[in-house]
Amino acid sequence: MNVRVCSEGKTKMIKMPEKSSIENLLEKLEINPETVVVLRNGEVVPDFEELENKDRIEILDIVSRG
Amino acid sequence: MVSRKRCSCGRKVVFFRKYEGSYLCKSCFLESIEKKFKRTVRKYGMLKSGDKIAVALSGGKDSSAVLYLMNKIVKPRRDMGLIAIMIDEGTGDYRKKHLALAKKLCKKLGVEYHIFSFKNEFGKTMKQKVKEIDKGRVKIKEPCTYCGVGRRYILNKRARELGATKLCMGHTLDDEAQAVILNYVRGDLYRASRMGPVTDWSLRKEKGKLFIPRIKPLREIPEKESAIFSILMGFDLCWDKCPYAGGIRFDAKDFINNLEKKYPGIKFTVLETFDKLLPHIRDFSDKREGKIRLCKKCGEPGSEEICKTCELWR
Repeated sequence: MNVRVCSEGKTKMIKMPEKSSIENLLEKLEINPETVVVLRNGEVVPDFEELENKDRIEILDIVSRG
Repeated sequence: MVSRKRCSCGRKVVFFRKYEGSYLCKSCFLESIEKKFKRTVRKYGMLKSGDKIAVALSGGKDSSAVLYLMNKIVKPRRDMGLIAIMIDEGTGDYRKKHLALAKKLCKKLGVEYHIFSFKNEFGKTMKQKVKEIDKGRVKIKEPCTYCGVGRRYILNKRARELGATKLCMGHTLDDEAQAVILNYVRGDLYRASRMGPVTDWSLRKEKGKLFIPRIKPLREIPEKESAIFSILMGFDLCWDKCPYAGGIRFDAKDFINNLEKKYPGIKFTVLETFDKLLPHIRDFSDKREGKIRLCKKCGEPGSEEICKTCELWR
């Protein structure tokens, strides 16, 4: 399946195996889940949630740096 | 696919709190944060009748959350007051966007606010200071040091002038755990001695009124949960990063986050252990270097003859 991932102002399509979770996606992108909040189709979702084809995923880097 | 896991109330889960194994829906999550906030305020005796609280508001997720939650406690009370203080460090668009959001939130909540700038206070902005750093004209190379020292100075001085009795910070569990590690690796016990949920120990000792006690009611709430709280509450937020942020403090944060990923709950352990050690650190530090002095240049309190702010900014 393909998901559209938006992170730090950039959007890209990422291919993931069926039944992958948000946690799997973050692992693939080498992002520590502690440092981000993930929105799926605009809504806050837990990391264990499974992805669906054509999901729109937004990854917000929440670590204060300023 | 929608998960079958449900919150104990039966609603859809928005957050899994790994360190306590709880699945929470939006409503239970928001309620749990508010409860935790109130419990922290009570546990450390952060508020008392007659207090005027100045919230240090940047417009980011943490300070927006702390302003909202503190306002919820203080607003119904006739014997307490609440204001917000914002600092314009002069970091260009980054700060302008955040200040606009901060003002909007204050207006929405009906909270009086005051804005002070580095330009007016020190005659130059952070942008100009960074140029000095880049040209090698200054000794310390880390922009965050100048910014942090400048901000603390203005917040304390202006909160005092505005009659505030407490300065309320949006420091989360992550900020506190990071500071513990940072002070440890730097061997800075004096700075470590000034940490804690309420930083008024030096005040009691010195019988002075120049330092406004700082309270940190978010210190037992992880940064990720503060972010989710602000998103679920619908606050307008900007996720831009400070253009000058960097250095060892962020390495310390990465270190803690990597540990937390492997061992959920470790941030709490770091802070709980530090809290147990704090009375001893304060005792040790006080014997060696704990005297508060008045700066010969500006008259503000500090630990040296010339305060850190005058050393770095004047």
